[in-house]
Amino acid sequence: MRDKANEKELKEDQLNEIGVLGIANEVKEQLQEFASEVGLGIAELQVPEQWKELQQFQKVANEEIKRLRSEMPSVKEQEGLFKSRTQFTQLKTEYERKKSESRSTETELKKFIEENGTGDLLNQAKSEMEKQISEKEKEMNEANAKATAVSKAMDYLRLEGVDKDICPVCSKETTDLLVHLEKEWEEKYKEQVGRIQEQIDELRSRLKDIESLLNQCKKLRERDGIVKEEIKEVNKKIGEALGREITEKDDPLVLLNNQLDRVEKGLNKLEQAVESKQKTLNGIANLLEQIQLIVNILNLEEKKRIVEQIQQSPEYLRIEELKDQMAILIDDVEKIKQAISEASHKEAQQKVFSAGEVIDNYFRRIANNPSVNKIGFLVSVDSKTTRNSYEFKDQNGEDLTPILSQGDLNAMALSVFLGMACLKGATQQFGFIMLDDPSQSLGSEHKERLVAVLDEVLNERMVILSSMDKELQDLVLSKITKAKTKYIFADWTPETGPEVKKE
Amino acid sequence: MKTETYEQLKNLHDNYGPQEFGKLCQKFLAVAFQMAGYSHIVERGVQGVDVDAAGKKGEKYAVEVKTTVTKSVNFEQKDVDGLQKRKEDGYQPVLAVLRLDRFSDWIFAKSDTIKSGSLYIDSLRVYRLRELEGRICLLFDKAVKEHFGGTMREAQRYLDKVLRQKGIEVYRH
Repeated sequence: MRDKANEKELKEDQLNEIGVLGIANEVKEQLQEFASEVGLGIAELQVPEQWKELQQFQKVANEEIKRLRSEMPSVKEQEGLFKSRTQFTQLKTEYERKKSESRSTETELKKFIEENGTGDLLNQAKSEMEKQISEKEKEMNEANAKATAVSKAMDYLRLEGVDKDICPVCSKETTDLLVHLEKEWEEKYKEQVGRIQEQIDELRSRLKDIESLLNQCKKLRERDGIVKEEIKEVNKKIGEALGREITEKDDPLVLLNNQLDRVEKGLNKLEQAVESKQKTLNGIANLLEQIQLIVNILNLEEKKRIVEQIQQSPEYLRIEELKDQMAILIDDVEKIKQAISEASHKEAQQKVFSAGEVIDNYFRRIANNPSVNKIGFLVSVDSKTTRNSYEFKDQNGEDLTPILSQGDLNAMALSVFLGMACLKGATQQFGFIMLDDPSQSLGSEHKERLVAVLDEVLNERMVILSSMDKELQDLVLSKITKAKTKYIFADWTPETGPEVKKE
Repeated sequence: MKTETYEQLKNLHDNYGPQEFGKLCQKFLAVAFQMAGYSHIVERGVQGVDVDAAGKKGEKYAVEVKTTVTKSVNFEQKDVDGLQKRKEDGYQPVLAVLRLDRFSDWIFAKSDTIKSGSLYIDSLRVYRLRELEGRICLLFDKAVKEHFGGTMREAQRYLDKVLRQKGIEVYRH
């Protein structure tokens, strides 16, 4: 943060309360001077007595800078000129567009007249055409009347039972009248009617062309009239913007360009003035940034002081003391754990040593595995858990675990348990042992031999055995030579548990 | 550790990286021992225990310095062996650990019975030499404050000059 202060051209001796309040006073004076210079009022700026209360001062000063930036007269004037420039430029564009449109319509109309004549001439041609059509239609009607009469006469003469040589109109007798009429029809009327019809069609087509041209002429004139009206409207707007009437003698474009030049000159002049004022305000804003930076530094220093006070406080020192005591406690607990582990290891070694022969004996009797003549035990400490770890070896010192069947492994577990349980002396505190379902994975022979071993164990301890294995139950009842009681656990429910019956 | 010291050390750590930072702290510590009035001080940038300091009243400390930003340090067998060797010469072996943290400070632990491995810093509190810590820690702050600027510029080179000026024996690669 001090690096930033250097970047902001702050000196080391300013990075304190006196320094920051001095800068605040400078801000106040400069703002007042500026406001007076531009002829504006300013909010009351109160420099506090302590740096911690500078926040309000900074807030007001920043707001005032913002306000002065937008409200100083030169800026207002600049805004007005910007608005005028926009308005005149828009009017100029609109005027030029309409003028161009008008010129284009006029050219089109002129070209049309050159090519097709004026509207009057076209109307004259139209009347002439209509007259000719009317005459031709009359001629057609006459030709048609004669042709119709001949046609009807031919139809009559073609009827059966009619005298073919008598004229149906005048009753005059004429030899081969029908043949004669048919010949006349072919040679005279048919050709005459067709020719007149062709002329009428030709005249109608020309009339249609003239009407189309007249329509085009009308549309062009209408468009020309609309554009001229629009130009009048634009001129009216230009007149309003310039504050004068635009007459036919005026060139609105030149008037607008002149006005735009004036605005541009005004803006250039103002730009320098505004830039200079904004620069002054930037300088004041920079002072406010310096104030903020020093306040941040002072706040940080304050926090540091608080942290150091905390570190020196009796509470913190007490926590440190407690942490030391806790570390000593943890260390003591670790040492106790280590001592227990060592004692446990020694005890386990002792037990294995004492019970080793009995376990070996029990295992060989229960398992009756011909490949195992003797088993030995090693007790070590698991480095991860610090608990005792047992290894079982055969007569050759090889690890037994991988080569034993599930039944042999169970026999091994039972042998270890029974051998340890039967140890005499203070290491075994209870007068009984409990076996829960000991016949798992054991074959019939295994079970028989287990029961024989249990009969021997009963010389040292009471045995409580639970089993669902009917074979084992029968063996126990029939082979155990000591007094025994059988309890049957039946009808078990989650609410009441089993019903126990003595047998 | 003062917050100012923490900030200066953090700057050095960020600027030079953890390995160089450890060496710088070792040298600052040697300066602090000198300020505390220890007459014969050796600072080794080479193999062996980092700092030896012998006082006028006959107290002699051999200090293995460890700095970290985590909660544990790695105390190697070669450190144990080095300290053991100094113990045979009559020095009290000390493991000095600094965790670079705002609320941390040096822990000076009697290392006679400390085994090698990754050590949880708080577990060293059991072996603290509080009196020595009380004498050295404040002076360490002072040493850092006095020599921070030069160290930022020239790192070990600057501090070696300072150590030699103060009559401390300096062994470098």
